[in-house]
This record gives sequence, C-alpha cells and structure tokens, in this order.
Amino acid sequence: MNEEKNVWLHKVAQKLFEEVTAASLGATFHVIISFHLKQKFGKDPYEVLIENPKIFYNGLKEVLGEGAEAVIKLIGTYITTKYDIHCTVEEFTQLFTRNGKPSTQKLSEIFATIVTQEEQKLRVP
Amino acid sequence: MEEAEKVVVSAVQEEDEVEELLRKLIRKGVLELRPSLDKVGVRYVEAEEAWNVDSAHAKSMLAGLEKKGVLKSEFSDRVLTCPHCGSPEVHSKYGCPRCKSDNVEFTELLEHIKCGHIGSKDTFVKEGVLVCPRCQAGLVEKAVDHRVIGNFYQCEKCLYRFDRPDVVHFCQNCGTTSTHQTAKYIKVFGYRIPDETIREFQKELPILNNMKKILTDRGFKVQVHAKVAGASGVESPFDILAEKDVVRLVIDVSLGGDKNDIIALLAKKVDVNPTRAVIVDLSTSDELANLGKVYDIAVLKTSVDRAIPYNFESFLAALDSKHWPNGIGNSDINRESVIVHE
Repeated sequence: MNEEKNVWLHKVAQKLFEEVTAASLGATFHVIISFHLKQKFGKDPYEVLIENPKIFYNGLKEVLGEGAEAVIKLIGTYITTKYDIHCTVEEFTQLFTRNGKPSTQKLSEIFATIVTQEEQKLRVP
Repeated sequence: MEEAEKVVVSAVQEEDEVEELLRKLIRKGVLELRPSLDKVGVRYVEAEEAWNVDSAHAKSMLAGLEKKGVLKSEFSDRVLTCPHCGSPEVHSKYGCPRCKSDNVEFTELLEHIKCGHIGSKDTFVKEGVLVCPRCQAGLVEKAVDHRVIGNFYQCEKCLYRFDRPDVVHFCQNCGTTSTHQTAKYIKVFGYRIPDETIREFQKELPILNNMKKILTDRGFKVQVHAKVAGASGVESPFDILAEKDVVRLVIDVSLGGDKNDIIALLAKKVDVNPTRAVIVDLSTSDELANLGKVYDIAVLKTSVDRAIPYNFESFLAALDSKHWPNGIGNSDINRESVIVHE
C-alpha cells in the first residue's frame, strides 16, 4: 500500500516539475534534467525525490550546480502560490537541503495535499 | 479594386502596423508598460518614447492593442482624476456641509471632570495651557482632571459642528472642483507583451545579425535560431550557434534579464556541453551578471541601442588566444571553457 502511494506521489511530483519548469524554463528543461538525473541515480528521479529529497537535491546540484537551488525555489514559489500548503518557499527549499525522515514525510504530505486540492477543484461545479 | 480585396489589404496593413508597434517596444526592451501619473494624466512614457507619440495617442494605441489581444492588461491601481481634464493631480479638502466653506477645524471635545464643563478644546486653551472656561481651574493631567469625550469638525465661518465633513477635490491642472459624485475614480492598467510574442520577435532582433557578422568575420560557422541535440537526445534551441574547429559557442539573448533565461540556458549547456555558453542581457538589471559567475555562463551586456554586446570582440579575442594561441585553428585543442566574465 505504501509503495503504491509512493508511486502515485512521484507521478504527482513529476507532473508538477514538468508543469512549473515548462512554463518558466522552456518545454525541454524537464526532459534534459530528468535524463541527467536518471543517469545519476539509475532510477526514476521522481522516485528518489519522494524517497529522499536531499539525495534528489544533491543530484540536481551535481547536474546544475548552484542553479539547483533556483529550480527548487521556482517550484516552491509556484506551489506555495497556487496551493494552500502551509509552508513558505524557504521552508519548502529546506525540505530538500535537510536530511531526515521529517523532510521526506513533510514533502509527501505537501504532494498529497496538492492532489486533494486539485480533486476538490474538479468537484466544484 | 474590388470591395473584398480592399478589406483584405486593409486587414494586412493593420496587422503590419500592429507588428511594427510591438517590434518598436521589444527592440527597446520594453516588455512591460507600467503606468505613471503626472499633471496631464495617466501616462505610459516608454510607449510614448518608443512610438514617438503623445500620451493620449499612446494610451489609445495601447488600449487598441489590448483589444486586439496582442497585449495583456493587468490591473495596477485605482486613481482619482479630475472629471474635466482627467488629471490625477487632485488634492482633497474638507468642507462644511452647511455653508460649504473649506475653513473647518478638527477639534476634541473636552470635559473638565471636577466641574463637569464640556466644550471644544479651543475654548479651554488660554495662553498655551488648558484652563477650564467655567471654573478657571488649570487642567494638567489627562484622564485625571479632564478627558476627551469625542471629536468633531467645526466650521470657522458659520460655527456649525459636524462629525463628517464634505470632501471636495481640487484639480491642480485646471482648477475644477469635484466631489465623490462627480470626480472620476478610474482603474489604471499595466500592459504586458505575452511571452510567446516576445519569443517570436526575439528571433529578428538586430543584435543577432550583428553578432552573426562579427562571428562570421572571425571564421566561425554561424547559425541563428539553431537546434542542437544534447546527451539527453533533446534538441535544444539557441539564438546563435557558432562553431569553429572544436570550439562551440551557444548564445541566447535575454530581453528582460529574467533569471529564468539563464537557468534555462544552464540546463541546455549541461546537455549540449559547449565550449562556452553566453547570454546577452538586453536589460538594465545586474542579476544575470551575478548569476553568470555562479553558473559559469558569460553574460554580455549591450550598448544603449542594443545593437551589439559590450566586450564581444574582447570576449572572442580571449577565446581565440585560449584555443588558437598561434592565431590559427587547431583541432587538437580540447573543449575547455574560457572563463571570461564581463
């Protein structure tokens, strides 16, 4: 069940990453980054993002250097503006730079909240 | 000419005019138009300068472009303007609701606690100190010997007391007076050129051709609006691709100096692995220059007319001396980056 939930969450994370970067950084940005992260991790990078955001961030840093922080901030800005996730951009960014289970758990909660809010939007006639 | 043909010709002319107006803005780096206020009214100074028209024309042209859907309008503010001349330079005065005089005074209603006398503050003031006009006792400590029990306006002409004065607006430009019923409280909009339009016009910026010529003169094979396949298999677009021997330069132009432009180039650079990635920043901001140092991307600013990047020749000369120290092409030299941060 937990594994199933993780698969579902990493799909959400991937979709958000695509959506945010396509709008601001061009349509091919996420394809390029996903490719290089996959090479680095040897698995779906969004799976890594859900399992351990810090490892994802470190991988992104290896690919983009200091640009990694800007990308995470961009995603944080988008998410905190569009959804009610009770988290600032700085707090969102810190989830990627701090080690530990609480960060992983909080990030999963954020993605789950986003899904709930999107579902609620769909239900409103 | 047939009527139908005339309609087609006129539509084409109109489309050309619209394009030309947008082109003039984009070439000047004006991607957003923010309203400013002065004596004459709400103005869009950058549009006036780019199109060489007065403020009234600029406003109507902007509204026309917005109506056609080629500009996006965004609510910016509400502004009080004169109903006669439209000037936002109006100042407001308070007036007596009875005699309409603007000589009204805001005052406190004081009570002398000991003797119970109530009166306006001015009747308590005697030689700069508070003295009860009824019992002549001096009032020193607020809340102990006297208290404020209210406040009001008093007309100094007819002595009428009231809570809420009339509000009258005086236009600084034409002298017209107006009230909340006659003044105009208008919405002011900013305008933005949509990103897709900017990208479209960016393709024909004169700077691209100027840079192409310089690079070609230095022996580069140059493509404007080129696509380069990277390690991921994605074909990344660049405004300029210049190649000579094993040296490959990828160049993008940033019209507004948006940091996302350099992040986008950074990802493409990672994928394509050029000798050097360059971003030409047409804005007046320094943000990209600072980021360029961190991302190892050369950031070139431009001359005022945006025709050519500053230091482009010296940038290329540095590249030449690194890769062709003897002044000739040498294909054995690897693709090591040349660090030149302008």
